Amino acid sequence: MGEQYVCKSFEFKDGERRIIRIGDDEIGVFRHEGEFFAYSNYCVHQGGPACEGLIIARVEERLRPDKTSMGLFFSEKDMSFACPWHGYEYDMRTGQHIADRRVRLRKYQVLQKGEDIYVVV
Amino acid sequence: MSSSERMVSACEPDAAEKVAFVKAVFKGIESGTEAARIVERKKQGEAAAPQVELLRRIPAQPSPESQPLHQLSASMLAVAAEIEAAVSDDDPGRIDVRAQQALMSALCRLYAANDERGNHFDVLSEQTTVTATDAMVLCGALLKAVDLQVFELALWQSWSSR
Amino acid sequence: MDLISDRGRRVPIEDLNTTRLLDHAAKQARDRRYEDVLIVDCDAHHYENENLSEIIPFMENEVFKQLSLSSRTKGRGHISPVGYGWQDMGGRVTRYPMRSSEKTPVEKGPKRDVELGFRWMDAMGVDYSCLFPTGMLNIGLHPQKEMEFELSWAYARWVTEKVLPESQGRMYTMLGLPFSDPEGCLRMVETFGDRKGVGGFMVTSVREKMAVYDNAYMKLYRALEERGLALAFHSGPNWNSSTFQSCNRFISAHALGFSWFSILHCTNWVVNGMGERFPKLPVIWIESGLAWIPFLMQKLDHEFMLRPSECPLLKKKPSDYMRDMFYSTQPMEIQDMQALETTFRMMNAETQLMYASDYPHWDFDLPSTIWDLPFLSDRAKHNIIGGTAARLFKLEPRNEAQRQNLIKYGNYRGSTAAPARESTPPEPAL
Repeated sequence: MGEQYVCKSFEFKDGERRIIRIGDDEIGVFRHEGEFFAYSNYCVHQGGPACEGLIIARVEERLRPDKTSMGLFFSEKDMSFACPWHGYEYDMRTGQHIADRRVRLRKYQVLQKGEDIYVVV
Repeated sequence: MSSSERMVSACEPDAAEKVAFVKAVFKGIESGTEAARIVERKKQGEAAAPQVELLRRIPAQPSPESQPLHQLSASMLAVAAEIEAAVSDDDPGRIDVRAQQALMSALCRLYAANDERGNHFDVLSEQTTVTATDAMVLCGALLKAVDLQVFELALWQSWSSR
Repeated sequence: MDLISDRGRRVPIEDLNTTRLLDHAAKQARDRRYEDVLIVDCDAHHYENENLSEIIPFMENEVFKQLSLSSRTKGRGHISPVGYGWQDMGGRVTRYPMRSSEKTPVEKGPKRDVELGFRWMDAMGVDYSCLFPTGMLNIGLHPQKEMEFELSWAYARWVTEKVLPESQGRMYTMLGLPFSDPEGCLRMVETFGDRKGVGGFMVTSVREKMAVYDNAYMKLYRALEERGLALAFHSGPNWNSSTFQSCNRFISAHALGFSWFSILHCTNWVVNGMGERFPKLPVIWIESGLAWIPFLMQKLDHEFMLRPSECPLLKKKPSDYMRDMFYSTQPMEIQDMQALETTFRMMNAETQLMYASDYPHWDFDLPSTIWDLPFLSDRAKHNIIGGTAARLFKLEPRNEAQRQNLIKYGNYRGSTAAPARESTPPEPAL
């Protein structure tokens, strides 16, 4: 189907999301830290609206060199979004499940031409 | 992309399992269904260009610092800064007692009202300059003002599971 | 409304709308033509704790009623045990924190509960659902057996007199038994067993001490068997239990807890020969998933061959008795397809397994978790997704295509064998 026009970049604020339907595909388009990401809005688990849930920093457990745990922390750099049905949690930048990278949402390319934003389907 | 293709691309099982699964899924598609129409459209090569339809626009998540402040909140921040300055200058006496009482009373009620509505938050921010002694002095004075003993506070906390 | 994200950020979110949230489930239902298939959800929930002020007045004992009503004033703690933990994972499962924001024509009470139920049933393509409470699944942890009876009794009256009559016959229930009070259990069966929408009774198996084989319960089991009612054991987690005190993450206490309480009570049920004593009593194990079943079958069969003298009532292997019982699907562990297929074979899933969603709880399963399995025959699919439950609970098809499918797979006769139970006259008004 090729490039599909979404909107003007100035209409799309950082941190915002748009859920769009193109033909039979439902796609979540994110603008995160200035970059655009687009994924299938169908969770690989049971088909929930994967891109419509909570955006939340990745939780990490930090260890000291002697392998003792310092406890749980929110990551300073990695963001996730979670499917609201069951909490399947995906990496914002790759669409991969944070626990198993082989499990991933279909990723769509996002093109920016001047002020116009396109999703390549 | 049909739902069956979606599942296949997403789960990535081994090849044999994948083939069996696809067969099973397609076996299940009967004529006249939405699934069948989707498959048919795919075969026809999508004669008409699809329309992009915006289903939902989910606003950005503002960070606390970037959220515009209500006018009252902005005034409160300004007043708080001035009070902090008075304390730093070692001149707390320049603030009228009646004004302090009004502010204390209003803040007390505001915090309780938030709590009642399930709007829980840390009563002091991480950048607070309040010391443990400050907190104890004020808690003691507040309890005394409403004629409560410390054991009554403990009892209430245990009753209400706080 | 707002959700709380990392480091306390507030995230503005639109109000919850179950129909919209489950839009993709509705698409699955259309694609798979679920309207032609009778689908029964053997385990769905509502939040009865939101209606306690309506339930408590049904308590019988005036003293406990006064205690409970009095403690309903704000900030006075709980009247029944509360499970703790992080079911909604910090709001990642959004329907938990947003539940109160969902708009319904009637804001509160049974009509709202039924309306919310219809929204998810219609989206998933479910025709009938077995309604269970949520908070009261912990009732077995109450230290006062009087309160366990009073609350179970009050809920039973409320749900059969106020909630189920609103459901147009699409919701039924298995009423929770006050298992610490065997006489009370019997009274519940005698009082409510014939009411419309009561398909059986349920034991909340989250209990620290429960002897399902105790002589005190034989009258109860007999009463259920005689009436053709089912006995269900509904599992759950209990992070408070001494067994799980070393679990430092909710996932551990949750994953183990749901399996453990079924493993424990099913073992006692089987080795004490309850299957021999009550061969016609349908027993259902609910919400433990399936992975525990092959484990327990192998473990018990192995030890039974070595120590048969400890189970003299058994005339066949423990696994054979387990295959006589029923199981609900959710939360089904679809991780290794071959292991799942083996599990289905070992438990005779075609006749013993029944679909359950557990909606709206966080780990719910859609009908497609069964419908899309590549190794199931059409008969097995139809049986598991609703046919077996239709026979067990005497549920009627809702259209001609469903009727034809029930006939095709041998599930129809049972659903018409007995007429739908008529409602007994309600007890005197409060």
